[in-house]
Amino acid sequence: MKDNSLKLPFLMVALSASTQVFSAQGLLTEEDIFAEIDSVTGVTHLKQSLSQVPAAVTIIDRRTIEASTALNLVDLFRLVPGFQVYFLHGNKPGVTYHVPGGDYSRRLEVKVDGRSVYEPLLSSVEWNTLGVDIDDIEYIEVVRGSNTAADGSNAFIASFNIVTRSPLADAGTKFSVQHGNQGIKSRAISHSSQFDQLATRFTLKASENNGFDLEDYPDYAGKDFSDSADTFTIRYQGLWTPSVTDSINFQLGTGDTKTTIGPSDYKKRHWKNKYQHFNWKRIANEWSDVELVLYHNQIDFVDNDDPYDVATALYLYGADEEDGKSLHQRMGGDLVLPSNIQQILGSGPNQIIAQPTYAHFSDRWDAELRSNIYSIDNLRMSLAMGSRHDSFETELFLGGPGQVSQISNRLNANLEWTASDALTINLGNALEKIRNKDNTNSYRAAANYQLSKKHIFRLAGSHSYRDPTLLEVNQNSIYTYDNQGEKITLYTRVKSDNDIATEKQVSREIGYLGLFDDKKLSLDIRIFDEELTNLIGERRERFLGPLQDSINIIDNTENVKLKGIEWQLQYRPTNQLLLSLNHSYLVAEGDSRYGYDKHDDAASENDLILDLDKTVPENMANLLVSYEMPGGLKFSGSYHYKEGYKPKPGAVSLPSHSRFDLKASKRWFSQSNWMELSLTAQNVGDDYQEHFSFNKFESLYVLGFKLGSN
Amino acid sequence: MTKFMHIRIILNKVGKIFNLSCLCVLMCFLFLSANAASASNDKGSQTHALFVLSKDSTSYTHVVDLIVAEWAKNNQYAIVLKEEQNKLEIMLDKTDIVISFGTSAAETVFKNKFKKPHIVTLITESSFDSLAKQYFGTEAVALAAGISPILLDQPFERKIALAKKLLPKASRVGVMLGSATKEKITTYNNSIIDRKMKPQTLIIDAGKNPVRQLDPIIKQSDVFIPVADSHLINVTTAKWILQLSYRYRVPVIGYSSNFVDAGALASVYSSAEGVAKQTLELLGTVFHKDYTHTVHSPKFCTVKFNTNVAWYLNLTIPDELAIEAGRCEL
Repeated sequence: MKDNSLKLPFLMVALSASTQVFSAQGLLTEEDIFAEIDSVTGVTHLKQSLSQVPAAVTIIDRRTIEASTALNLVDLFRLVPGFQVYFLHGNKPGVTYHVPGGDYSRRLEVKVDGRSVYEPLLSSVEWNTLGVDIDDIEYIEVVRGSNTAADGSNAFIASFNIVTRSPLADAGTKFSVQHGNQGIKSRAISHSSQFDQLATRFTLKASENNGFDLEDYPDYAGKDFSDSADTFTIRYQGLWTPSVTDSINFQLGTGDTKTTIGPSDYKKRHWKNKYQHFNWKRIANEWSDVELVLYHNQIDFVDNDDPYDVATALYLYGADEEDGKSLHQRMGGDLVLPSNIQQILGSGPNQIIAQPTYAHFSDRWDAELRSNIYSIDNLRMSLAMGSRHDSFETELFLGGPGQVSQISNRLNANLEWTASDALTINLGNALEKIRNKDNTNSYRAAANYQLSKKHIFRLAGSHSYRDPTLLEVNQNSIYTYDNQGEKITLYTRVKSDNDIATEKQVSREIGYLGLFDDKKLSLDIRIFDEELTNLIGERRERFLGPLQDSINIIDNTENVKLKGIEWQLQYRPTNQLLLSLNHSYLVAEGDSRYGYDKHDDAASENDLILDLDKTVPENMANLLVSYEMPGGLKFSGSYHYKEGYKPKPGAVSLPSHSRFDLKASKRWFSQSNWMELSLTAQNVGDDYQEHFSFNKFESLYVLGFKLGSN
Repeated sequence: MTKFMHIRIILNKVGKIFNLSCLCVLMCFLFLSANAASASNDKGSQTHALFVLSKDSTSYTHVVDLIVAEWAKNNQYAIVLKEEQNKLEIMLDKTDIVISFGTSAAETVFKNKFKKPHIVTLITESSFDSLAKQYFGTEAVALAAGISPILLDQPFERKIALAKKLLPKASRVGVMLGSATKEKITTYNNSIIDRKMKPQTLIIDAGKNPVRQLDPIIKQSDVFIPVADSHLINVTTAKWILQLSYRYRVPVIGYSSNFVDAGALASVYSSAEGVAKQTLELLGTVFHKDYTHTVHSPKFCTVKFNTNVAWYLNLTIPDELAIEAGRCEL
């Protein structure tokens, strides 16, 4: 059965080569005029309009991007209902949809022009390494809700496809510079041109900022803490169209980012990343196309750590704030050090066990062959098969030198059936198989009913699975002592559970799309009920090691039910006015298995369960209004509200906050050049706490200048 | 899919039975009220139309549904797919008029040598010419045989007129033709010259790099008009036309609603509503004694704009230019 499925796309493509119908006779038929031109494709990879797609979709287009008050990519996601944008530190943003985000937003697929930028080594997206500037983006297609049936396991809660401007759509050179408080500086230059058969575009960007002001936080006062970032990226895009039916896109990029690992420790991290992306598309005939996508992502980063020796470790990991005694001293009665450790401490050399730096290396190769088939009336199919090889080397995360890798294969089928003029049925299925593991089968069904051109209703349900990432399966962060070749584990920081299981989501939704006044006004409503089980997180387990009494285990720790409603309204009555309003109401119920608490007595150990209530903001809202005056002066204002929430289960809830952003810009045109001056103010007014009490989001003022030539 | 057609036919039959029942009740009422209503007159006012579809897809069924909504108020009808040959043959004997939707439906009816009036709709000029020659020898013979085509392709002049109204200062008009439309090059060029503009015409070669062919033409144009050609040419060139039009900030006037959704500034096209409206008008006149069968150009048009593209090009679209299946006063 599987083999047949694999052959089907190729068979279809082979068959398609034999068709040359009416048009070959030099005739133009009505079907030629009805031909569909590419529109929204990210949800099912078929050409579909918003009224046909089986999920709620938000498009952040170029006009919205230019109207927004965003200073970086993630700011744009506040324009999408249900999405939460937060900052773990000044340069470590997190983006999540409905579920609590945590330190790593594990369940969101982000693609740049179809290339996944999900980083398996950290089980999340590292926004700093994308190398995509706001000015590069043509539009962003956001699928709200699980899209595993089309985009695979990583699109467990939602997916983004960031579509950058084609090298064909621009010409000449563009230069931009930004300066603002908190050390904000950025310079970017891009050049698009046509070299014989090849349309090309180069983009170079350098940016830096100081991050949040941590000095005012009492615990950090006087300490040399910084969450600054310094980034440099180079990006090249090429487009070659040898014939009308074939197009070849390729992208190359590299980046270098110096930032910090995480909040509270602020140790340095230095990223270097590279990618190569190749896409060949052939429109085989009137009813099929085929696409081959190959890409390679490579990331390596070096983390600074506090170097310490065995003796110091005993104090570092044993210091107790209450009595000042080390763990060894305080728990001496319970903690029996192995004899070999005692021997080491008694007579062995005082060896360095935590190195000053740790290097990590991650590599991903991915190949996908996709075919869209429109040969049967009212039935359209997208079939894809893909394979991915992930590997990484990291001494710190894997407990020693060496490499772990995995190969995963996938088959996707999405089908759209126009049952009648008013009813469209979508079915999607994704079969994923990691070598030596059970396969998962995610599927989705949706019915879109078009009551009239203005009113479209959608009923959809999905079952989705997310396989644990390579890191989630293999993590074993330990510090060892080298006793003449024998590795003795002194301290285990984080370890993966041996039986970590697949995450599962069952989702149901009712959607409405209203298009009024010739689509100048649109209203999108989604009422949802999502149940997520076996979510992967960290729990604590009692563990008597030489230097510790508990251990963090990566395991299936959370189950959560999410219910609510979200809506967005967009109004563009004229070229001058743009209004975008969204709101989400979300109730989360569930529990998180926190595990062992050292303050508990022995009888209740391993039983601590934390409530997930209020771990996501119940209410979020965003309003963007932009108006361009005669003469080209444009004013934009946005208001964002986020209700208070607990950044972690069991944590103290953050206060609710509102922020106002303002932007004024003006563009001047001459015969062959243009120039733009802008002033953006984010969070005009009082500071607010951003995700953690020590992150203070102060007002930002940024002056921007752009110069372009054609 | 044919199941849906069966259901539709069954529903039509149920509807006919219901209509007949209503008619009987009405006739009894008229008889009892001693008004000498003539049953034969009532029967005579009920014209039976047969709708023949090329495909059971929304492009065709939407037009049929719009026509049926009006037609069924006073008349009878049946719908068949062109593949349902047996049913078609039976229905052709019973019906007063045939309305075919699309090229292959028209061809099926031509093959059956139907002798009564036949309105051919949702057909391009190119397809009708070819079918008329194949089955009747000449277009004139086809018309004389009782065939009235309503063409789908909007006259090129309407696109030029729209371009002129949108961009009064435009002087250079880029036009792309393909192998199916290249014969019209002189007509189109003359149409542009008549409006005191300069044509820049490209006949696209499918085997060569489309960007290299399109780039110099779009670059030197103030407005670009791709003419609908074969499906493959339309689909494969649209993306590059639109991207190059953004590069050089040249507005594109397309030929379909899809083209506007994909990023053209505007399109002039025959919408389902416009085609239905004109077909209904023709159904009202085709039985008149003084009616002469002829080729009907699209009487109505829809003019649609992409406001985002207008914003990008910094153009203001006058409200009065937007037309929804109305009289094309361009």
